[in-house]
Amino acid sequence: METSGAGEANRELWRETADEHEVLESLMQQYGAEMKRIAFLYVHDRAECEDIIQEVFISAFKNLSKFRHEASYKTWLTRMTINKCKDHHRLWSIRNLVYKPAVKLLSKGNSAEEELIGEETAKEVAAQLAALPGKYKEVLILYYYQELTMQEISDVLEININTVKSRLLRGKQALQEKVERGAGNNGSF
Amino acid sequence: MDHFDREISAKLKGVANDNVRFTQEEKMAIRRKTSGSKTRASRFQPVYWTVLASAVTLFLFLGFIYANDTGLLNAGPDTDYMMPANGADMGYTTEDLEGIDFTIVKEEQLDDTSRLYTIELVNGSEHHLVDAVFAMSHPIKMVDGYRGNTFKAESRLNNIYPGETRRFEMELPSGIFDSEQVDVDSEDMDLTGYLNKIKGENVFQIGRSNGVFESGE
Repeated sequence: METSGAGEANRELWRETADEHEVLESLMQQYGAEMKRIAFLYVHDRAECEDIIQEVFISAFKNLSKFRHEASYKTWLTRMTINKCKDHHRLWSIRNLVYKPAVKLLSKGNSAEEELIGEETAKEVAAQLAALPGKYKEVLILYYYQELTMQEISDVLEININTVKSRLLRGKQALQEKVERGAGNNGSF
Repeated sequence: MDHFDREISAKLKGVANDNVRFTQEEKMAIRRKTSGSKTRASRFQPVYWTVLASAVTLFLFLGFIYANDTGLLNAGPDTDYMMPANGADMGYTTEDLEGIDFTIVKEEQLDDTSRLYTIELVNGSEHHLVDAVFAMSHPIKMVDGYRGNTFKAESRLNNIYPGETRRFEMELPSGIFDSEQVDVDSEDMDLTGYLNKIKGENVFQIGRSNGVFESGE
């Protein structure tokens, strides 16, 4: 993910599109959907991930001149997205603590769109992932959704690679337990 | 990735891809919010520029007063020093060196590399300069000034008698230096030797730099 080639590509992009609005446009085009999906997996809320992705790109635009091209734009945006998700999650937690003390993370209803078992279990997996502690969730999202290596995850999150390994292991165990427990309850996984 | 990992990965991608789209409306909203911010930042701000201009003026004014008080503005076009080369244990005083002078009287570019200087040395002192050596170099540019260049051209002048004027030539390979790093338009000159007798306490050194400092004089 972070290679010298990527860095060179970044510089090329910068030279070609000296205007920051054009760079922003290009970043939204290339990475907008992917970053929004990362945010969705983290917060598990469509409206919230829309707010997050707006903040990410506005923040990216404001900081384009400070971007030092040490990492790729994708790494930079991913890091920013994860950080915005954490910020939102903190606010979300406080909001819900005050206004909605009882929150059901999993939808157990038999709505029409969830009749297909595969789709339902996929949504449940996503919900179980979103319910994990942030330190596991961020590593698992980068591992499962972006399919990054441990070194790349370490670079994005700016944490030690050994920390990544242990969080990935514990996060997987926690997710596996939750998924299996869920499957045991409704026999769908 | 093992089987469990691959299954989880596929499910998460499926959920995210099916449920999340980055729409044109969202892009428009981001464009709207970013279009104002940079325009605001680059707009001419009279208060900011007025304060900045005042600060710069004040800085220059105070700097001028400081430079005037400390005599920085009174420095001549050349920088000279006369000193016993062996410190305070000298067999003479700096007054004994007064009258010893040397200047570049002619400068000629020989080819792309070499530059020929004609130096005139006047021994206006009452002393006999013994075993005199004249050295010349271009100073090295530093961020905050200059430093001596160890790459020097030297000429052995031997004995110079009181009242004697001597002309000699020095050739410097100015063209081999990178003019970004070496000031090839300035010259450091050094005359070293013994005053009257070859004795440790009689070693002297007289230095001069041309073009290093500029002055309003």
